[in-house]
Amino acid sequence: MDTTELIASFVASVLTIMVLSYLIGDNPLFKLAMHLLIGVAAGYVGAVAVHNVLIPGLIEPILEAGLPGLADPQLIVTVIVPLILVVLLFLKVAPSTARYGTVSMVLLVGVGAAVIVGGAITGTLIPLTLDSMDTLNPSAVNQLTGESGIERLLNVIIVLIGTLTTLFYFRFTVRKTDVETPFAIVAGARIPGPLTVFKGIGKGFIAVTFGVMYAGAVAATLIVLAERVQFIWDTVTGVIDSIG
Amino acid sequence: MCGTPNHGDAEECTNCGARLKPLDVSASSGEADDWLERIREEAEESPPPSSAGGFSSAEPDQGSIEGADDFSELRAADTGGGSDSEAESGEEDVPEWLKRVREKKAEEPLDSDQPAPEDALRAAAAESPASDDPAPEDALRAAAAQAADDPDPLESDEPTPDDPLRAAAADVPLEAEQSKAEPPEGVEQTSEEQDLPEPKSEPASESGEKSPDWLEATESEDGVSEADLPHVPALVGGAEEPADEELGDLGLPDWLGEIEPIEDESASTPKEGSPDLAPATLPNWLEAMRPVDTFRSVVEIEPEDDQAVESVGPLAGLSGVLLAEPVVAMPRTSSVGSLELDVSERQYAQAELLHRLVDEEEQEAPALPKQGVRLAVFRWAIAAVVLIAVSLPILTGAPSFALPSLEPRELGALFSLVERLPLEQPVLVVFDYEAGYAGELEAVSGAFLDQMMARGLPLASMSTRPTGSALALIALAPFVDRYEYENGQNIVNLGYLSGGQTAVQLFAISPREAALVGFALPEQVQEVWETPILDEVEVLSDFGMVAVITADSESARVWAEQARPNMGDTPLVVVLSAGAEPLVRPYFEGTDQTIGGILSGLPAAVAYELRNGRPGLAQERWDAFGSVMLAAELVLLAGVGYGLLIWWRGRSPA
Repeated sequence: MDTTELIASFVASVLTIMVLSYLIGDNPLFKLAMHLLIGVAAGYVGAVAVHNVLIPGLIEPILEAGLPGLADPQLIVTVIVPLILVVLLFLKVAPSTARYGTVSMVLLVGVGAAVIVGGAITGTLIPLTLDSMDTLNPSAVNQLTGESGIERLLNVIIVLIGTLTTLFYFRFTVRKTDVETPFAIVAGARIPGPLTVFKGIGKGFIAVTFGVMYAGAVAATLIVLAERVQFIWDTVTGVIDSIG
Repeated sequence: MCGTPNHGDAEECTNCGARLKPLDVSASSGEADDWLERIREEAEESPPPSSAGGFSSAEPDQGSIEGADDFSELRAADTGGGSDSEAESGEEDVPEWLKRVREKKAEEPLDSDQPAPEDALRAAAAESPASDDPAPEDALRAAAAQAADDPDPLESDEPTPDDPLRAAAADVPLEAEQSKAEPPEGVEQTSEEQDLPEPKSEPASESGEKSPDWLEATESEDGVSEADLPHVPALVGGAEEPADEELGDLGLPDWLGEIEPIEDESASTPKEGSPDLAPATLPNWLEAMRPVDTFRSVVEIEPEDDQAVESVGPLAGLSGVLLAEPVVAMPRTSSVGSLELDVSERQYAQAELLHRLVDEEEQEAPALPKQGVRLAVFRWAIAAVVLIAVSLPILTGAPSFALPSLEPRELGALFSLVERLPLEQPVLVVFDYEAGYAGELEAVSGAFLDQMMARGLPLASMSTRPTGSALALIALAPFVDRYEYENGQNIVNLGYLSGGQTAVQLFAISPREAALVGFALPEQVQEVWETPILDEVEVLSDFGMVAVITADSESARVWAEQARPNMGDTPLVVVLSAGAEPLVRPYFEGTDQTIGGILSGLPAAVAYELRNGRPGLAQERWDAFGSVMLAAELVLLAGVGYGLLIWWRGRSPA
């Protein structure tokens, strides 16, 4: 470990400890570390945007084309128009000129919404709906997991119950008062019945799903903590070795 | 009238044509006096008129009234007929259409039973005595005229110059009877009309015609003469107010009898110099709607002497005209609306609710009781347990946990997929995570990258996050050194792909058109797409595999939705953080195979390293991970036990 790497590792270790000092509550060391993190991240992102996007995407094509090349239709479409939109979007910084940036914002939001909705329908909604229907076929074999026979049948039943009861839970999420059931309208009381059972099962599936997600997040966080402790220990031993 | 300045000698406005100098009304008045005297003399000499044509003989000279009352002509012409004097003085001037109308009217029978509703106003003034069904209000009006005891100007037999005009307006041959009737309601009297004596209204019997049946029946049954009939007081000076007793004794309708007379001080004590007018009484509902102090309840008609003569405009020379200033110039309070809100009970309740909510927002929330000591102890205790559990394996190497003997089912499919990848096709690895997840994802993806680079697969990395390119260099650095990869030859960094989901779709359709300039390229490489790795890549399916390393399920979904349709047979593999796996797994387990391989969690990474046969970061952190997970589970169990204890103590009667 050379000196530069040792100094960088030492500073990183100190900053890690400053962040972990939040354990004793909000303190200036934690705030200093947060401000440094936000400032460095913002500066780095700005530098990347300038060097990887603005200069190669807008500045260099104009400089290479020169004044005669500005009349090139391809350059106008690919560079000049985006440059105008960028300038208009930049006008959003001032309230008096913010309205001129609406054109750029409209283009961004409109195109983005179209891409998101289209992708969600063709890439998520339709494929996953068809997959949910395919699970009702016990004879089908999952090509990736290799499930078949009883295992596949049990999996299909679980998926079917989970899907229906989860939808049931969201469909019949109502207040306790004035609950309308197939049998009667009961006010101010929880109704025992098939609807409540289905709703409870769906609630259980949702709880298990969120529990798994939370457990995964906790496990990821503990892995990061272990990596940080390992890093601090490596830095300490490196400093000791360099001193010694 | 328009306000345009004009020359002092100008008689008319150059802009609007309004007369600027008043007309000489004295001459007209003198002329009026002359023709009035002539009319009176002629009336005394000649017998009373018995027909419409006879009445026209008493007409004054038309030319004498032209200057005095131009509006009389206009009114007469507007009602569809002209006066008899007009017929005499200038019969040849009458248009043909007017002649036809007169002839047609003359041919009509006089005993029309049902006059047209729109002619009710004219019929009220010119009701024929021969009519079989006279209107009650006309009878009342006639009775009121008869009941007047005092000498009234109406009793004069001399017709006024204006009366023939009204008679012509009624367009009925019997102008003689009509001239004795009162002018129709709503017709405003000019000063000249008030000045001139009104003809006396004679009963229908005196005109030689038979009285209406209902009137005769009334006289025979009740014994009430026409003078005793109820009448509406005329809104003219000199009309006497009938006594209440007289009205009460008559056969009034029930609804009219229920109305109690309202005493009005102004009515009982008429003002000095003002005409005796009947006080206007308003119903209660109308009185309630009237804005307070916004208008005068009694119409005051100024005496003739006080009425100014109009000096300008088309009404120049007329007196008693309505002034426009009170309408257009004088400020007044709006009579529309009310100062008080009409609030319903529901609106009042909603207003109260809103008021209460605002009051609650303004109230300061009570300070929570401090329980920091106990909470801090718990927090510090848990933190100490976690830190000790993490540090012990790293510092001392104990406790040690056995490596997992089982591996996830999908791991084998992923391992086989990487093993089958062709060596001539590059693999695109997308590093879509932030620096905070680098500690986990570098350990999880290490074995995956190790396998690919051990096989010598050319790698191209990129990121949709600004910091992703630098994290890619850090994650690949150990394997680049280990397997002697050369930057620009068999590994290249495409850099940052800006634009989010739209950019991902654009990159999937045409990677070369995406604004990727590379990151940390060697100096000899000018264009990233000209490197030996990417020179044959035109579309996304030219890559042997696309692997997305991300800690966010959203990023994995974006690549599955936007890029997968353009990838053809190229598989899409995701390396995930443990928290994002449940939301991405449906894309993997579906029959559509949107995602061809999935790797998530440290246990799967350790199993992957075991398959590779080369230990990596996953195994290095396995003991610390196992220890802290054990500590976390113990803390969770302790928390569950504490909760059950609290719940049990709450249920116990003690």
